[in-house]
Amino acid sequence: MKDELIKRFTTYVKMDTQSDEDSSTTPSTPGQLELAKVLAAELKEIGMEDVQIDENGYLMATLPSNTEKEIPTIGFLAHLDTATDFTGKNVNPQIVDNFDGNDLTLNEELNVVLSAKEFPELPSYKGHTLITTDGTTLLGADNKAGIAEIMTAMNYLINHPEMKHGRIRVAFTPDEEIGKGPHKFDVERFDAAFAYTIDGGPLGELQFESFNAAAAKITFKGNNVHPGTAKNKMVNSGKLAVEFINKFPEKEAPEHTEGYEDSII
Amino acid sequence: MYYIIRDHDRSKFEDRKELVERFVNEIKEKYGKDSVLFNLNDQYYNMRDRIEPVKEIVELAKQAMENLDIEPVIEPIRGGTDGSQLSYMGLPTPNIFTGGENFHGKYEYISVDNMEKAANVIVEICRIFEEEN
Repeated sequence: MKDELIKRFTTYVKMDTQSDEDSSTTPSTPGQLELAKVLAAELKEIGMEDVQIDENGYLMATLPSNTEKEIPTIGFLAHLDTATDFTGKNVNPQIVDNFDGNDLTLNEELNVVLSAKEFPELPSYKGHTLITTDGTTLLGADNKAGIAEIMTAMNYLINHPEMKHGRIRVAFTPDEEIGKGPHKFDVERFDAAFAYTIDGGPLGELQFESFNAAAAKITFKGNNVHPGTAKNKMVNSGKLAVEFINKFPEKEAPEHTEGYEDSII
Repeated sequence: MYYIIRDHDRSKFEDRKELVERFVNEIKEKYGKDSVLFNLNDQYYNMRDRIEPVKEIVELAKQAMENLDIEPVIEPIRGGTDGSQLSYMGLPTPNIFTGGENFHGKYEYISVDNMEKAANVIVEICRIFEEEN
């Protein structure tokens, strides 16, 4: 299973699928559709059925039930795009076999080092096979690891017919990182009773709670008057903004909150 | 100026939005109604409200992890996932680990050993669900 995961994952991360917040198309970038096409071919190759990419780049497929029991359909999802915060072009994954637990130099020339001082969890991976970046790009494990894991799990189920399961649906979707992933997701077409995204971080993460979220845009308008006659007339918009900001409790800003503590930024 | 408003609790979330609006109104009262342009939109909601009624799907994932000697780490996400919106669209969708660390930057890395565990959790969820139904 490990070799298959490495092969699939390193293939996917080499394709640039960064989304683009400023685009008005779905998917927001053509690279995502290219990855969807590669994945559609792989899904067919391992024996998945109803493999379809819709006009918005949502790829869905079915693993038919192999049990006589009538049980609800489970879905598994991962997203095609990678984050926009850092470059995701020319990703060059590095494989570290049997990691020794010490600091890892990702790029000697640029002096990029993965260190236990900055990332205290690092030594706990001693003995693992790690995949890292070459220090110049993001890796795209978010969420191509999820894609590789779902693919590999489906292939395993297909190759182990003795393991009984109900109908399984799989979807790979665009534009999660720009918050538009579900916008054009056709829940009826997906036709599952419930689903899991494979999109978390470290081992064991299981999440079913998120924030409630809203965004506010506030524009302050001043009133510009010649300073000589400005008395009681001029309004400085910067001062309005400061007066507004000072109304908020400082202890609730994100730099002071964690866990269930909540924030207004 | 842009503000984002976040709260795990729905009614406190509504309170926070009201607070922002109240502060805007205070500025307007003092400096005139044209002194502030204000626009507020909801982005997504806490999926807990939609997953709690079908909590057994969280239990199923937890059981799958425990069967594989993985300790489930159940924590609220300080952000959103596709699952937050999908759960509100009628598809309850919790989120499971991939095994990755430090997403979104050059220090991002992943353990292949833990990727294998994630794939096994997927298989185990399918297996248990058939066995128990």
